[in-house]
Amino acid sequence: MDYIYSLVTQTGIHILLGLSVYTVALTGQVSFGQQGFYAIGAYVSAIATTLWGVPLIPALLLGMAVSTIVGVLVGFPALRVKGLYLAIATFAFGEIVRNGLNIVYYTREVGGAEVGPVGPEGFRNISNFNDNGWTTLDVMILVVIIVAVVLVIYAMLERSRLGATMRAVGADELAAATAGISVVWIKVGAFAIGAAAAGLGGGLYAHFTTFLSPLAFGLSVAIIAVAYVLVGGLGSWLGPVAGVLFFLALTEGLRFLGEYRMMIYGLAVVIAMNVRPYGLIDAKLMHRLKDLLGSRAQSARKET
Amino acid sequence: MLGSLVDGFLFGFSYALIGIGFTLIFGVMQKFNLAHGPTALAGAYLGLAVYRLSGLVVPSYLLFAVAVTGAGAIGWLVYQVCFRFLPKEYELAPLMSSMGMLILIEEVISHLTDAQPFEFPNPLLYEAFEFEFGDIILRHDYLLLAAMALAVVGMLYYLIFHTRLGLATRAISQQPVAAQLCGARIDRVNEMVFVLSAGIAGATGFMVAMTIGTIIPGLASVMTIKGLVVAVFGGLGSVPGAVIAGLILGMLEAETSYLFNATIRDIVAYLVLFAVLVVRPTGLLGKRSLYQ
Amino acid sequence: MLALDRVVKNFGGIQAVDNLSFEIQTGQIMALIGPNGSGKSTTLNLITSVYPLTSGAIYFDDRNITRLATHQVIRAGIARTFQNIRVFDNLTVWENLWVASKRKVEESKLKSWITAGRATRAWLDEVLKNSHLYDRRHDLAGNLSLGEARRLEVARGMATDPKLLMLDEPAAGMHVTEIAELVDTIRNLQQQGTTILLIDHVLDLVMSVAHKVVVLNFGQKLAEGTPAEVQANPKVRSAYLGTEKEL
Repeated sequence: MDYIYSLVTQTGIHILLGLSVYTVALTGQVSFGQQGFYAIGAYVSAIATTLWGVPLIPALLLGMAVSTIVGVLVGFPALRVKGLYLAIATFAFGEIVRNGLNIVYYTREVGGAEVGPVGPEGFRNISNFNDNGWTTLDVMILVVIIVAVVLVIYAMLERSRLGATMRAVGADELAAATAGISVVWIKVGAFAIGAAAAGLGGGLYAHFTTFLSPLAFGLSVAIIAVAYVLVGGLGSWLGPVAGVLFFLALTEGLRFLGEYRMMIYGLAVVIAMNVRPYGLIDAKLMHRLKDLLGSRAQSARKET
Repeated sequence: MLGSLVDGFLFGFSYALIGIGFTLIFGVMQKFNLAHGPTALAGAYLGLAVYRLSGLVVPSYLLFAVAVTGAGAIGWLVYQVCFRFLPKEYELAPLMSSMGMLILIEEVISHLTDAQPFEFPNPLLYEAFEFEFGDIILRHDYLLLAAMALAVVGMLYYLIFHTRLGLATRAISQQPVAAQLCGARIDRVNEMVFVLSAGIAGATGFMVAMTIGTIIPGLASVMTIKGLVVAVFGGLGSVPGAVIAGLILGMLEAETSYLFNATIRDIVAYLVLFAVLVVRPTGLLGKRSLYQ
Repeated sequence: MLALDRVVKNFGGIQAVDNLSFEIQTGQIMALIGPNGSGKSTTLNLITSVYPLTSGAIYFDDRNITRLATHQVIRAGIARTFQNIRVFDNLTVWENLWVASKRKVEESKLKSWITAGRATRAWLDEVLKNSHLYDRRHDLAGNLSLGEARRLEVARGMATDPKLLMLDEPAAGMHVTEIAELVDTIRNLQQQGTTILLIDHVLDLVMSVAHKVVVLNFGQKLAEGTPAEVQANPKVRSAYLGTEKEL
């Protein structure tokens, strides 16, 4: 059962990562650097709990806050770059963070042992869960609750004017400006929200795996985070969730293939892009679903 | 210090070559092929495989040819699955797809070699030599690399400006629809540019592995990243830009590596990339189409 | 209401707008006409700050709006449509209007980012009904016909509750009946208090609807006056039709 609990926890964390890319992508910006915010959230919250004795929830919030601030700092220069160029620029940001982590040496003596990030060797013993007697089940429940809350927020965002405004900016910036929308604030705001989501995911990840290494935040994470959204679709928040579940089903279903897992990932991405280039759940599909549900509700109302 | 600068300059030619690969594809199709690095590496591995399987007997120029044609074939495949059938206006799907290929190729290589590093042979037809200029030592393999790069650039120049294929690529990169109406077959031209770019990649991978002496799967990511930095820095679509950018990056890396350490070196490379994209996205010499 | 003062715009070596000055009075319908390339669309773009001015100034309601960003110009009370329709394809008709809608005073700013209050809903419903798009309000804008999309563009402009509405070639691709409807729409808007600036080629439309006409040629003001005055102006005739040659 422990294995299932771990799996669900990991899925939840990856959903946060996917949502992070999704938020920014709504405004027409595809970021291959969300793993940078993920890493920042992870390291900051881990340092907070392990070295400074901060309790879990405030530590997670701190990680989110720092990520968000960096998100704003990245969001502004990102305004100047579009499309593929932005993809590369954000990837460069992610790599700067990863390389930067390689030279972070910050340790302290806590309870008789030396803890903290040691550059390329990583950050061991992020033991907050263990120290407080959490079981794998407890961790899973925490993550599920947090992710559920986040998904509810995203569902509300979809139906709100802010959500529609973000999509408008993603569709046509000039038209959006002509509709009185401040494109700058929407795009930077998207980066901030996306960074917050990634930072939260990172914090959960750090405490879940109890060990952080700069290697874990490189090219593969960048690719898989964007893959969740591009394969899952941009039609709604269901898209990144579908993307995560798709890859989950793939890796678990093909577990017997063991180490060939990454190969399957790569192949799956290639095939998915050829079959459904705009993702599993794109805008048209969402609209048709909404129509179906809407018309059923209408006919139900008529009959009463 | 001057020595490392010279080394960096010469090694920079390899960066230039990979950058040229990226910039060629972008110039014609306005897309990135992220499987380019792995393609280069795959070419090198193919050369190595032939060498080992033949019992260390095959001469180097044949291995080189194997690397080039092998990589070219892989490039053809990448074009078919990542670019040919995907919507032309939507650049993210091909990008994602080529990333899938990047992962796939790297993984296949890792599996076939158990991810172990291999010694890459330096089988030459001549005695290894070095030039000495006072404190500066010029290694023969670096010089060979530089010479090959210049040969490639010269060949490209000839192709692009003195052949029909080159004419077609220039036309398509400027006005794809009009070019098609004049009879240029976009898919064929793209395909050929892809294969050409992949062939150059194979040659580069081979030479790089030879100068480094060992070959590991991780080289693919490294080459991809350096290639991207160089292509963007030099201006996407500009071959001369990629050359200059490659040389500058090579020297910059050599100096920061010498003065600080490898991590700082990488951070500097990425900061350059980020800064160029934000401040001057067209890079050094980039214009809308090839070579203008 | 709107005044351009010696506005100049250079693109590299090309003088798109050359020392242009004119005024629109509140409640007027003014038309800006001229051959292709005479600078009409550029003028609209300058007013909405899509491009910065090379020199000169633009005043709206006695306020210098030359340096404002596009969205600030819109919020000051100017709306515009585009020649090549730019509706948000991935949003519904209703959402297209919603993102543009000016916040009703009685609703809180924070809440207006989330849902549409009763006043906003009523306002948008009215705009929709006036544009005959009410029945299509839940359809994706990308599925609309050309005529419907044009109406949506105008509706979206009206949703910002503007004092001045600028229409960029609204009659392009329309046939006679549609143009007649367009004339009605423009007159109605003006009667409800919106000032209108109209750019178009279709002279029938322009002449039947405008109070005042400004003619541009090569970025310069060629003539200015009532439709009748402008039509009789020999300079205008030669710019549009060419001069007669002596046989």
